[in-house]
Amino acid sequence: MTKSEPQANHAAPLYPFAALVGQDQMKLALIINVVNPRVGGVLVRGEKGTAKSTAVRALAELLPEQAVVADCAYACDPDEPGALCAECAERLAAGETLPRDKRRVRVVELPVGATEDRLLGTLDLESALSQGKARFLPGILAAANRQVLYVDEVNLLDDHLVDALLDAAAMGVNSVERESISLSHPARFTLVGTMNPEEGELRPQLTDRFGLCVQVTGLADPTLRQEVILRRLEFERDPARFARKFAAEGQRLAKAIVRARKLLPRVTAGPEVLERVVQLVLGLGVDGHRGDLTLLKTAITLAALDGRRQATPADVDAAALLALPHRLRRRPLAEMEFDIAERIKRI
Amino acid sequence: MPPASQNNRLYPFVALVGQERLKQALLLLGIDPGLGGVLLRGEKGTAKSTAARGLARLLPPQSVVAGCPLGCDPSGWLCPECTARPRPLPFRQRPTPFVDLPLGATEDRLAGSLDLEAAVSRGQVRLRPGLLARAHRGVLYVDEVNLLPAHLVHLVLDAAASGVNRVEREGLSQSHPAQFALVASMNPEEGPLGPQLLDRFGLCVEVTSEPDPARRMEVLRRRLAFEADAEAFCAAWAARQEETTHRLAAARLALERVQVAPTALALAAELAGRAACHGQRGELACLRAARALAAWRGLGVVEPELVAEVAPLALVHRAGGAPAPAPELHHRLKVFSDPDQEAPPEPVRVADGQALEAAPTAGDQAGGERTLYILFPGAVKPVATRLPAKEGASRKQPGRRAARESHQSRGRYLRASSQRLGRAIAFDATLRAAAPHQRERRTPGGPALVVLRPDIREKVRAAKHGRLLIFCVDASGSMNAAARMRETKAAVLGLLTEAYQKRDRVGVISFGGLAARELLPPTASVEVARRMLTDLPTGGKTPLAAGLLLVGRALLRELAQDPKLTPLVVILTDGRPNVPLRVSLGESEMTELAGKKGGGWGDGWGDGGYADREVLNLARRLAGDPRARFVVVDTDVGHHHEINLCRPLADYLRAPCVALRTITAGQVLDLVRQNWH
Repeated sequence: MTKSEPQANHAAPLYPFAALVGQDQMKLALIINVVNPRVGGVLVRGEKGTAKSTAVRALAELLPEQAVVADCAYACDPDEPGALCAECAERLAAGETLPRDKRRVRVVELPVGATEDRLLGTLDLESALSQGKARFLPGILAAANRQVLYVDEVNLLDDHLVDALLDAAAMGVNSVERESISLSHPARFTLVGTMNPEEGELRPQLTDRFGLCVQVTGLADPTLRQEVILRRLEFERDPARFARKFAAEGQRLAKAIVRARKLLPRVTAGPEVLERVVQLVLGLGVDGHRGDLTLLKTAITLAALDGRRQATPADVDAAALLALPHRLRRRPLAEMEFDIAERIKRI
Repeated sequence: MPPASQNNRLYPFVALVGQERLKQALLLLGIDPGLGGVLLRGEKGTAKSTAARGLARLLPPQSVVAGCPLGCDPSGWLCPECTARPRPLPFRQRPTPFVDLPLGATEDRLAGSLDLEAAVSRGQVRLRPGLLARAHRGVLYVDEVNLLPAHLVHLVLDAAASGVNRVEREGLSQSHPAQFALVASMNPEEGPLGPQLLDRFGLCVEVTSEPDPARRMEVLRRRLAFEADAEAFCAAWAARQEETTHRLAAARLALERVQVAPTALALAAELAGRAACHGQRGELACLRAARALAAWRGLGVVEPELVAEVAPLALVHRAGGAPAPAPELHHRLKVFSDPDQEAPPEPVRVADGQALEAAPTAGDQAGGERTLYILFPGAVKPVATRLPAKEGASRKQPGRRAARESHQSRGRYLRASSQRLGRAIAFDATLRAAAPHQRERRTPGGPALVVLRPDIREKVRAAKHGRLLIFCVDASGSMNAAARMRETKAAVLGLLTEAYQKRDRVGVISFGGLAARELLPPTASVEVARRMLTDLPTGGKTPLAAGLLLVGRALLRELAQDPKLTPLVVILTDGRPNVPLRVSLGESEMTELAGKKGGGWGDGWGDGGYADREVLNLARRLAGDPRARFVVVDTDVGHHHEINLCRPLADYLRAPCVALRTITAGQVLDLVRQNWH
């Protein structure tokens, strides 16, 4: 594993995020996570062919830059000494100034056939054979630290892989205790998963660990459908030109995200906002407390995106559509309800 | 979701809002780790792991021998290395260790394994301590214990019960103390924890989220404050934390001197009896917990009120229904049989029946002999020969089907094996096997580690667990009666819940009117299956033969894809087929399965018996493949003397037949479980 991963896909330009037709909730959910990674990721559910993967991959162009320790395999943040990996922490303690660099946040993909060792990391065979040392070979979770981790068909992943993934997502740390290796390293990433619910649902505690959840369906409006086809054809004919066409809008979006990120730490939420949060979670019947926190954070992020310093109860209502549907208490084996706007209005 | 520990700061235990039972149980465990562990059962997101971590921080710092990897107590048992060191032993203080058992853990890291580097560089066979060693004198936290592979759970529980970890692998033969407080969490929706595992936990707390709005807001406010500035938040609560730590330490010291009043003893026994707990663990846990509570409150004697207070914690997970089935006469035989011999050569050994049902012990492991349980003494038939050692055997644990070991390249890495079958190489185990021999093999200028053929180990992976459950549901008009449908649906819901927990695939075939339809090809989405079955429209005649035909086709398809599959087909019908295949399939001639008019089994329902014979002939065909198993559920609620085709159908299919009018939905579930292994 090289210390600095090259940008994915230099060869083929990605379909621009700004060129996606419809699917506004999904786009919003993704943008919210870029502005505030603490929201906890997105689970995108939907049939095949609804631009789920395209949207996530296209997200890469909107991701901002971040400061990293130049030669660290885990892309540690030089400005957060508490979250450094063991090596960087040691170097810092020894009085070294860590070399800095600015790099764009990446989308790291977890391939469907990944095995445990690729995900978590494993014994470095080379050094074991040549030097007799048991050294750690970092896996995908290491590469995903401080990045966006994209897992396609997350419901088809082997159970134990999803468990390991969500453990790391929750704790922010990947603890490896296997195959003669025993260490832990930072693994704080924004988890974006896509799935087709007809092929099986995720366990409730796995779904709960995703901050937001959106349901995408095929577009109903025939004009929009036509637009999708036209744009796709145009893109395939000349990707570079198509990308340029939407470049301006893409940049506008990227700037808005940067502004929102700057504003975010100063956005406040008054007591009426907290009250609304509690009202909604108790009224809708949400399991556990993660929903409360995520709802609040999402509301605050929405305010930041809107350029405001104060979150309002209306933000909470809008955020509820994204943050709560997958956490509602259901009858055993019942399917998820996504149309909760009516229920929210009544509370 | 940001991590619970931010910048190495833990959310303070005392700052948790509400959750009084949870905090109480953990404090009691902190005072007396010998309680045997606390199981936290409940929804997600209810501070279970936060509380467990917080507990470790509350426990007093301890002194350890400096440099000892096993964390020896200078005033207690010393490991061989510490014993060999000159006195006085250097020691230092450390906080109580908190060890998280990650889901991807392998057995070698849990129990400990060969120290690769020591073996390679110095040729020493040394133990590299595992997680159990690290948790010694501390807290071990197991999240989602009901999803952990059985062999790891057993390892943890054995160590928790005995306080010792024995390592017997890779040329090592050592044991070391492993006394830790075990905290485990689980979500019961995901599957139950087997009763013998449940019983090993001293206390159990049902954890729910906070229903009171004001308190809920407080939870939110505190959490936000913690995330905004963890340092300041912890500083604000530091005084309370200190106070609690001191109180805990004082309680630990006072514990020994706490007496138990006879009335309290009597109450404990009575409560345990009333709750129908099996064995003695219930009242023992109750008393221990009461003693710890007395120590916490500074009381010298345990009175009945304390027992009453802790009883729910100690007894709720042990409160039982009927005990595990143990027939009156229970013999355990080891039958070594040579097909040529008539009588078994060994005398029969009679063992106590009780121990056998509860936990399969050494006799069941891979090693060759199969134990047979015979209910009544009688003539012994030589039925089992000595079986070769199988790699596939593993200890069964109810609640999760045993991990089938597979030769494929996917699935969790269970263990390494020295059998060479062409699977992926387990590098860690190979290197550990090669390590002790390096001194002889090493050549100057050559690789540090020389691996020879006998060292090579292969990875044994767990196969995917899921099975296939196919519902073949009668949707004819005769099913319209509300009572029938309700009971049927209850049975089906139970089966679906089981399928969901076991990660089985479900398919639905329905027959009604003139033909049968495959409503749902086998899918992992149990929710969709449920929707299909609840919204099933009924009406028309009963084309049972067409239904069976579709079942046959589905089975053929699925078994072709996965020859090792063991599908279970549940047929729900009232056993009155009246549509011959000719009609269902739209053909002009009767199929050969229909036989001749009037010949064979009765006259059916006035149509010449064709439908009946087709059903039975199809059944005979389906039964031909031993991989598929069937269960017939008779949904007929007519008079019991009216006969229908269910029983003969079941006989032909070699399946059990249950009538919904005589048994409950729960019993259907049990029956399915018994027949599907």
